Amino acid sequence: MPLASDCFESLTRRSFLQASAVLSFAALPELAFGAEAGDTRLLVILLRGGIDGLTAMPPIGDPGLKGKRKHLLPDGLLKLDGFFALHPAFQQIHDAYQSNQALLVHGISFPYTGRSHFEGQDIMETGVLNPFSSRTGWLGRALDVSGQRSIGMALPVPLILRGKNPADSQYPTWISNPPDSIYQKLAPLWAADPDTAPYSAQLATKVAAGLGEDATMDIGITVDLRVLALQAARKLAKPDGPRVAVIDDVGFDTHAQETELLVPKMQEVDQAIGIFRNGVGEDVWKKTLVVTVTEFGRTAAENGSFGTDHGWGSCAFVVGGALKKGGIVADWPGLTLANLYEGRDLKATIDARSLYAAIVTAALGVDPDLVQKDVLEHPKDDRFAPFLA
Amino acid sequence: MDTDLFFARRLGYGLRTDEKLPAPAREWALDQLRTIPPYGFVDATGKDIAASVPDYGQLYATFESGAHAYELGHVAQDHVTPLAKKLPQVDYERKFNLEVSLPYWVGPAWGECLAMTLTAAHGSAGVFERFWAFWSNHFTVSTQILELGVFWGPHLRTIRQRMTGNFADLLYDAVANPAMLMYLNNNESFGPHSRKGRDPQNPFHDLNENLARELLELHSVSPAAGYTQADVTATARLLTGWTFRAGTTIEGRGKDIYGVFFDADRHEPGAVTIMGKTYTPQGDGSGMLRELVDDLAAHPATAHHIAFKLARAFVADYPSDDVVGRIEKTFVDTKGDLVAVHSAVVEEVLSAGPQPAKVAAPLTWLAQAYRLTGATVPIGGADGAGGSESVQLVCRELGQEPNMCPQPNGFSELNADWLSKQMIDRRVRQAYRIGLSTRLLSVEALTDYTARLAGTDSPLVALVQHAESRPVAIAMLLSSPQFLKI
Repeated sequence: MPLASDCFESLTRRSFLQASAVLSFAALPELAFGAEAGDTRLLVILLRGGIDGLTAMPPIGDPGLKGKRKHLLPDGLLKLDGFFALHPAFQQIHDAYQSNQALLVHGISFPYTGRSHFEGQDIMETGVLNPFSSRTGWLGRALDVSGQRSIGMALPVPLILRGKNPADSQYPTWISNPPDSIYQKLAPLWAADPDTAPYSAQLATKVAAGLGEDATMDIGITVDLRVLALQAARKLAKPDGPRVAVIDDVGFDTHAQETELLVPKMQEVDQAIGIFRNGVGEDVWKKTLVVTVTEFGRTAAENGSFGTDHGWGSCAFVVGGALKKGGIVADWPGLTLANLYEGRDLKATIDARSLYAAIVTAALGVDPDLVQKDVLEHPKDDRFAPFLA
Repeated sequence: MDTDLFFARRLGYGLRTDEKLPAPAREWALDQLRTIPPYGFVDATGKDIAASVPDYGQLYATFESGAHAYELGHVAQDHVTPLAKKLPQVDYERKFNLEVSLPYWVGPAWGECLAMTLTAAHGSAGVFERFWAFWSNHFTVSTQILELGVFWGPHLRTIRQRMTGNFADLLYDAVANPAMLMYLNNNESFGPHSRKGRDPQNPFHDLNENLARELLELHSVSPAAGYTQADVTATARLLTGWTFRAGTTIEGRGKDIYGVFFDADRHEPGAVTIMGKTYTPQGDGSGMLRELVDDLAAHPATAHHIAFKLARAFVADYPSDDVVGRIEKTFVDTKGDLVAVHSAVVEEVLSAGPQPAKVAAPLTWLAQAYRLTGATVPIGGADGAGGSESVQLVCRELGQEPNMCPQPNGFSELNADWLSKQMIDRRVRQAYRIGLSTRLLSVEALTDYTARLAGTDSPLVALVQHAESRPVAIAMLLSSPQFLKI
């Protein structure tokens, strides 16, 4: 399995240093609202398939971009700092950026260059560089340390949320609600089996809490990301509710006809963030971070079918009122042949583990040393500190 | 615990309350692996019920018939689409649904979901069916690409037809067909130096490596083989040209062909080297794929990869090296003879003994529940035809809609991926619905079955026997850990 642990060290060959946004926002008053420890809300959105960072957040200041992307560069790009722009699908994220509530990171990935979705997704969820070697996820381990509760907006609990304690889960259904007595009577049996035991208490709680909010769909309706975002918001807005939610999205593997596939996916993610923001309300939004995670980026050049193949570096977005300020963090690797990884992929010059480790500390209050030791091993990177409370 | 019942559930789709294995478990299981059992719309008595299935759900037997449907679907689509501007949106959508989506893109997959569930629940070769489900999942294609609906069924049944032969033939036919070529975009991959790749009129001019990567990573050798990006790119070159034809929908040479088609005009000329071996084209280059597939099938990493996956699916989430090694050895010794390989898996399950170790994936569980209870498998309707309860919709709620696997690596075979509060709750909900629709089963028969399943001293027996109603008894049985696990 190819690892790129040595790929982040070459920061001396910086072709561009994207500090402009950092500087321009540094003068603004900080917008953090004194969130108490343990009160921050964290929504993590998994973008499975590997989002194309050069479409999502095009580096329009890079002279190589137009040559690589003859068909995939959209019109109406949203202005950021002049070097980077945002795809017009990301209206909500752009609004957040303009109000100092978005941290946009480019040229970021995990130190994994094998280009396999499934190894890559395992690494993005476990934070462990040897794929399929860990049965827990970095967020799950973080919650084990912080003691907070979480909810997976998915049928299985996503690997990223798995820890010692089982995460709760929610996903709308049309199948009608059976009598509570079934759950009550089966709870001791579920508790006696090692595989079902972790969930027996939750299933019993579900009975006590009533099931009304779970059976909310018409038959045959496909669950929409935006519905999940609203449900996650309602859970996280509660003062005694969970503090972390994960939305598990798929469909970013855009090998062909990328524009047709990716634009609706990006709009969906963007709208989900807007709906989540409305759903939690402005007071909770001030204590909120929304974070995207993807397994890798894609080839710098288009392939033969108006798409892109598996690559390495991509982008990551952190949005929310709990940011101290907004801005861009990048150490732009460049798009010339010599600057691309193996002559084809956007390089990652930022280790995604460092960003997510900083998020764990900011959102869950886990001490950085404990994060390093028990949650997510990562290279030290202080570029995120100015943004995160 | 009744060991026959245990093996019937671990290896197959279980037993009805009044059903016994027709032979000792070993013989019963091994016998099924040698012949391809009947498949289709059958009820519990074995009667053909195809006549009660709507036309849009009828099965396309071959890629050729699927390709004819593909052509007709496009003709219908071209006819209806211009009406978008003339009709009110509701009327347009209704027309599109009835005249295009249902008969061509959505209906066939819906029908296939029904057929596979009926065959599993009512057929007499559950062991074969479980191995079929394994290989269908190994060679996942999904109808997330809507038009793939006409090819999904033929893909599944091609896999089925190859299961008594060898792995190389299975691999070749599971990959070189319209479904896989479309799913992993090979129909849009062009050799940059091919005639069409160089044609300025042609919008496609370069490779798409999607199928190449998954052929190596998922279908055969796996990343453990240590291939490089150069190997993936070379494989993509070799694969150029492999696409499909569906009459008038695709212009150019091969217009009268329905099904898989090698288009020499888009094949990248020249030799390629993949994992150290050079493949040199003879004639138009169409023979290179067979040569590569034979090498991949014979690669030691493939034997290990397939053996591990089979052991994980049938024996344990984290199977021992010994178990994997014995299946692997059979694969190597017999050059991938699938009857021998499947038999080796059966032997491993039998020698591990009656110890529940696997959580039944939703489809396995659902078919077992229908078989056990005799509840009528709901025909319902496809999306766009009222969306009434159907097997496909139930599977979607349980987290395993067969035609909509989210990613090409297939559905998980790990217990942890099928258990959560939500996933257990879904099983309870569906179990209760099955309970409500079960007509013929007595509480005595249910109680007896529960004792065979869980042991006479299990608290589940009393729960079932003294349940407040028969639907509740059935729901408790089907969602108990004893029934969730196999």
